[in-house]
Amino acid sequence: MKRVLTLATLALTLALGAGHTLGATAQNLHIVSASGDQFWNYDFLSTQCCPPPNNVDWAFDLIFWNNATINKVKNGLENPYDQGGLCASGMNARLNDGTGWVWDSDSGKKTTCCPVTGSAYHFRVYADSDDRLYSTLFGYYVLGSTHIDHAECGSGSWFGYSEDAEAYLRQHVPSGWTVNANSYNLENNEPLRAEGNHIWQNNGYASKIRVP
Amino acid sequence: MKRRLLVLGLAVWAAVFLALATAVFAGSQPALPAPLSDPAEMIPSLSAADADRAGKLALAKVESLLGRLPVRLTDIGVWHTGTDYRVIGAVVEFSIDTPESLTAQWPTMNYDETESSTLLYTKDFAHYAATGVTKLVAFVDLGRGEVVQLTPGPGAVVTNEIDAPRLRSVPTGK
Repeated sequence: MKRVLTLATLALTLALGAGHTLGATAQNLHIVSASGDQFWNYDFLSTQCCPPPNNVDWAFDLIFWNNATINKVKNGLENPYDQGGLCASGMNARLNDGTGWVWDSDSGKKTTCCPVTGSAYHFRVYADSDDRLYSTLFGYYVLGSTHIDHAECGSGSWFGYSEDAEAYLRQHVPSGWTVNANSYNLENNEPLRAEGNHIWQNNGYASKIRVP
Repeated sequence: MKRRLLVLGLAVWAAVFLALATAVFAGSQPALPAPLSDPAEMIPSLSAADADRAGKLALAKVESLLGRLPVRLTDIGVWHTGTDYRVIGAVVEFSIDTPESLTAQWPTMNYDETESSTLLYTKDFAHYAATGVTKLVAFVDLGRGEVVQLTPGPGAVVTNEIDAPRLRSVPTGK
């Protein structure tokens, strides 16, 4: 009987899991301008207009620049970020590359698929329809957010610690890519705070990673 | 056996019904939450006295679970709900200068991410070993005066899952 109840609980959990989680609340959500381009400095749960601050997921903390595209970044970080697809849920960014506002969605890449214990490191990258943005400041660039999914499929889940996730990603860029840690102010500082099991931790400065 | 199958069948049908109902009534996108005029005003803060109390409770839990480790309290922040911004307690971070290998029956919670249940979380345990532990993260419920979760922080690697429940098989959407 206990096993049947466990299976029944799992079935119900799966059904409830198909619903959506709540958005988190940003303390410093606004539009950032960078040499003609504009973007909101967090990613969002949904693509409904005029984003409110309580509909966000994570603060942007990565700028891949010089000659970056979405695919080049994901391929370059394939080791250790080799999980994607159904293992990574999608979020949305609001961007303006100088020709009007557009949404981009990305589920990103992560290091482990839904761990029961331990941590998966997860990043998402965003650009417009040609998979890259352009500005005179960054050249061809894409924006990203990153966080940790701890015990996502087990007990004791927490999500966040973006600064630590950013440091982890910096350690895993391919040779030939150049890292400038915490070097561009995106004005989205988030001191340590837990909103449910969503742990905010972001110093407001994105790491710039030059992609050759 | 027949009764078990009947119960299981009912559960699966209930699960399918719930999933379909969610999709039908929620539409293709989740409903947008009511906008906040000023999030800085909505997000609660932690008083110095509460921060001090949370730090002491968390340290006592670390010592009772793991013995006298050379930990330093490095950060502390408010722990609050996401729907109505109620203070639950504090999130407390400890750092350890030299990476430790730790095995424990870690106290954990299963947080209701929809915040629609009567209980915000249920208490649980996960028994495992981790190496490279340089941070510990504690969730302190100040209403209960209790540490309801203490786990290794970023950077730790789990080496042996001794008894850890699998609660879902798909990502939660973070």
